[in-house]
Amino acid sequence: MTAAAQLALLFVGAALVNNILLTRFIGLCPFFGVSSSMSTSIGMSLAVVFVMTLASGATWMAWKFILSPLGVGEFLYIPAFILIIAALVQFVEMYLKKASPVLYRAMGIYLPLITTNCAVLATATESAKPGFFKMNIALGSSLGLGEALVYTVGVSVGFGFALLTFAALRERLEAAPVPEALKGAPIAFITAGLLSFAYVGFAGWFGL
Amino acid sequence: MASSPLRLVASVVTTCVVAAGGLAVTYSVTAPRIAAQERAAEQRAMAKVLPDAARFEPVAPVLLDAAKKAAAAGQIEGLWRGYAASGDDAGWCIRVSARGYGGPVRMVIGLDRNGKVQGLTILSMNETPGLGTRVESEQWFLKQFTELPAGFGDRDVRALDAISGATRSSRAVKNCVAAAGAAFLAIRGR
Amino acid sequence: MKHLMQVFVRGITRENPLMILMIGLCATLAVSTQFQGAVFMGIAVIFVLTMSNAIISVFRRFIPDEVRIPMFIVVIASFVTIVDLVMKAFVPSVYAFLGIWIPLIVVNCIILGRAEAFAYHNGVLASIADGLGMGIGYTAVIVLFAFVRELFGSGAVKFLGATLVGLPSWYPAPAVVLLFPGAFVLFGLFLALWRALVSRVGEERGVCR
Repeated sequence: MTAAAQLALLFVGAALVNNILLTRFIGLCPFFGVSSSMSTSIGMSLAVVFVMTLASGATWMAWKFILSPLGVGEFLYIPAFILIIAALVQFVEMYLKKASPVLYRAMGIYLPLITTNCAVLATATESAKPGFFKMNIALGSSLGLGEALVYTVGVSVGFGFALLTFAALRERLEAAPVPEALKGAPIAFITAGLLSFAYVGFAGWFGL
Repeated sequence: MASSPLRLVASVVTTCVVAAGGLAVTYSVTAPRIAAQERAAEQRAMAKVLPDAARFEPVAPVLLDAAKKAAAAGQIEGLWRGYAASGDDAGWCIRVSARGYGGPVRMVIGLDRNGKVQGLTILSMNETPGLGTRVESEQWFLKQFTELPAGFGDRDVRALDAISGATRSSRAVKNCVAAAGAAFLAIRGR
Repeated sequence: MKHLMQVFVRGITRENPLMILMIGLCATLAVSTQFQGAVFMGIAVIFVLTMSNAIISVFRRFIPDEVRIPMFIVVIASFVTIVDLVMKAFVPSVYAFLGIWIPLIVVNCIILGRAEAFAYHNGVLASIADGLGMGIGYTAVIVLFAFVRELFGSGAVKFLGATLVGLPSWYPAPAVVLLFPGAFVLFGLFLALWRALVSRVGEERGVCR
């Protein structure tokens, strides 16, 4: 398989087959929190694509050039990664506020939420620290920087796609007659379950 | 009440230093145990799949490379020669992995001198609990591989039964065994 | 004493982090395919939550308001790392099953949430009671849920290699209970049932803010 085909597979695998929200349950907080309307979902998705990609790049480099050479990675990776992500989010927020008010309006308020979003930490950890990446692609035991970035963009696009479809469903659900006991969160979970049934169909695509 | 910048920096730095120190100590205590656990798991697996052998020695890199090249169905990760207590050649231990449903299925497979499967065990897998993991819990499944003839080939392995509802996990195990068989054919007598 | 008891019980019932506050859901759905894994996940969360609550409460007067969040995160991340290393060393098979979910305890909103909302403003004993209560409330739900899923999904519940409960062999053990859609649908039903039986919702608070 050529390298380009391998990367394409990695992307599809990350976005659909191993969808982070609906098949792996990572990042459900914003999934249920912001998905009540379409516009907030778009802002959140944009912010996640943006921050996740930066975070994976940053943690990958931190692992490769600092944590791993110093031999402290095994016991410092958790605090190091989460602090890198937190700092990154702060800088992005300050920069966007100055440089691009349009983008800031679109996703600014979601940025602080993302620091404690498990999807970002999970993807950054899988990209950076060997041993966590579990997808069925023969890429060796750890990812290169290019692979890590393709993987992360795939994951975040899959995140956005799932979030938007779910938001669309929930907007319709507003008008639906729901039994009293299931109102609110329970029906949201059941809807998500039905949506995730669609992703069962992706399982096994391209042998992923 | 606003704190001075100096105090802010000092607080954060102190926390980080204390935390890093504490973790370094924890790591130095647990690291040898983690390494020992991993070695022990491998040794246990090898002793289980090749009960006749008393000690295991990794083979020369040339042989390992030849085995890796020959095994198309899975990836050979390690290759050991087993020796009985008397010093006799007891066979081979092969650590091999293949794609399953949720990630790689890693196995250790023991072959006797003639290439008959003596035993096989799963080191790690990410299959769905209760579904894919039945390749391990339903004993007839792994047992049928020990009934393969000596010097078996790819087709012999494919002809065996799979577990219904765990097709892809079954295929991963078959791929591991097929890879081990191919590796054996490439290295036997060397 | 009575006050401590109230703080403790509140985490299990009226303010149960999973069922009422709706935080820390991700891991609950993911690790509940296996009873044993869920038990260890619960223990890990109780440990991290209680220890970080205690430490933050002890040092709360020395933590400047402006940098409290990074400091909380460092404390929490350190306890999570301890769990990570200890599990890897002593229960490697559980560690392999939980995988990414161990480091993800750091961003489990329950822990940072309790540090911020409770431990930073309350005494040590009360903070420990709060940590234990919330931790046990979390564990009770995740363990119960995993028990149901493993029992009805695979036909038997195992713990450390021993079978605890088994269903008769004619039970078909539908795979969907263990697959990811089953987790969502069952959790929705579980939530409805819990709210009907154990505690009614006062106010469904927004998640992870």
